[in-house]
Amino acid sequence: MIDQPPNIPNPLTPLGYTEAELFSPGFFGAVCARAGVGKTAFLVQVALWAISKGKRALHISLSDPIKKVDLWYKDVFINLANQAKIKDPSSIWELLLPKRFIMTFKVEGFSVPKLEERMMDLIHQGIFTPDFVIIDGLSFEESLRNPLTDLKTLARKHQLEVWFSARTHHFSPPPDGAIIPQPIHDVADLFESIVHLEGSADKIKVKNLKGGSGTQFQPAMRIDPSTWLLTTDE
Amino acid sequence: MHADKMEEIEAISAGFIGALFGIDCFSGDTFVKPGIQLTMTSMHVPEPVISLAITPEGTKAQINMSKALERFSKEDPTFKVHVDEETGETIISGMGELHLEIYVERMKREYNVELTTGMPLVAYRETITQRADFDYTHKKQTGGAGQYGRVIGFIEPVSGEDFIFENKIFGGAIPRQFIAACEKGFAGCLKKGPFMEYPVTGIKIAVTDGNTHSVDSSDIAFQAAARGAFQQAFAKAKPALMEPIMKVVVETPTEFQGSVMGSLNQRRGIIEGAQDEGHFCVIESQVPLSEMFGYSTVLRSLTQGKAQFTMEFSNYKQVPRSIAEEIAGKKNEKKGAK
Repeated sequence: MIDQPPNIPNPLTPLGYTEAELFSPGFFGAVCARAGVGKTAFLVQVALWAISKGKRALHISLSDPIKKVDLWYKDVFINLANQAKIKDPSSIWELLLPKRFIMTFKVEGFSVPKLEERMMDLIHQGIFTPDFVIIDGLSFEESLRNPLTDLKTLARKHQLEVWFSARTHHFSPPPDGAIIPQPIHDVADLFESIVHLEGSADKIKVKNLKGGSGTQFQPAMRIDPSTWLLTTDE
Repeated sequence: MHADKMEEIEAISAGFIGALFGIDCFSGDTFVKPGIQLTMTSMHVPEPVISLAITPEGTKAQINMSKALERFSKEDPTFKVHVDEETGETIISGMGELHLEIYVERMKREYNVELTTGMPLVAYRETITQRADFDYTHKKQTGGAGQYGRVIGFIEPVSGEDFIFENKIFGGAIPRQFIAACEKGFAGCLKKGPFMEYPVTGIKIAVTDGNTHSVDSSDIAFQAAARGAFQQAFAKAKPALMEPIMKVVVETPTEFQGSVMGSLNQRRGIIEGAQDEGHFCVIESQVPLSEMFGYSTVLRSLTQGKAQFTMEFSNYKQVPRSIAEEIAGKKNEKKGAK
């Protein structure tokens, strides 16, 4: 039996993010894109990397059932394992599984107090104490400043790093500038990192809009649509 | 057919569903016109994960029980019956505690069978976790013709298959006619593993070399050599015990979410997630079958009877070392008591 999870590479390293930066309590990161471009796949890769670093990841989905979220993890992990030539991936998967917890809410039923209540339930029962949170499917169309500020307080209180997905409308950032698209633009000050995925027929480009090494260092990074894995164009 | 209303028809067209009765058949059988040799692809039937010893009380009960078991086996391909060679007990096997309870109840109600049941037993499996080589010579000289066979090769874990045998001999070190004997010898060892006497799964055995004797080599000698080689390599291949894991889905009022999760956690369960449905929530988890006996009573008392759960077989997983030792201890105790 394998005792140690494999070393899954940090998918955000090419964008200039360090481990210390990504694991700072209260950190807010967002991946924004139009629907169907790969926001969930991106978040799942970040979560799998965090889990391989010993973090416990709480994945909150406001759009998909548990089974579908689990399938995302399995698919991305299998592709990662193939790419990294990981031996005995099923044993590794068994090691990762207890470090991931999926929580799903109906969009209208999700609120910060409710999330805190559910999370405290898990912590008090000794079932799961998260270090890293993914919130997928939150609608940024409505005014989110207050709930996000409350979430930030919650994240600092429980020493959590939080990544969000944010659906945007059609948007093409200029090659030299970092214009943050709506609707996340209005709350961008709450985020330490914002990454944009720009889809085309055969390529999904990954662009860093805020955080990491900023816009100074921008390697050509993309998501491979066949595997949903982040990769650099080298 | 609509509820209990039947309409007799002469023919049925493609895409329609009809019902037949009074035909002696098994579930999954295909009916075709005489002269046509076609069968539908058989449905996937998983191996049973739990078994129960049943003993009829009296000769009449024995006869009725046989009739009932024959009928149930035809109806339900996941329900199996066999007689334990060592104890002579009739063992029924199925997909869960409730599955077997229903058949026991049906035997009592529909067939008037008075019977006693034993404790449910989990269908554990043995496997290996690493590759190990073997080089075994079976040599026996008992006056007349001797026995001689040497097999060299390796065993290694394989996922998704119960048993794979590979003949990797080039140059005829073991003649072709004895290779089948080797496979038979190895296959015979898988029924009762050397570790805890449970069936062995997930194993690949490859024979790469060997030796024969022009007079003393025979099928029997190579079967014995294979058995010896298996014993030799199995111990070196870090054997492990596997247990059936069930996918358990509990639907509970939100107020009991914490205690339900706690109860699953206590049973070595991995909680995959919780789905909030307003006043209700659905908890999905993976729990070892051995920990699920009597869970319906526990859940009822935890949630004032307001929660319900479903359970289905998911996969086999390695048993933690401490639990495996406990199981081995209990098995030895049982053996000692016999």
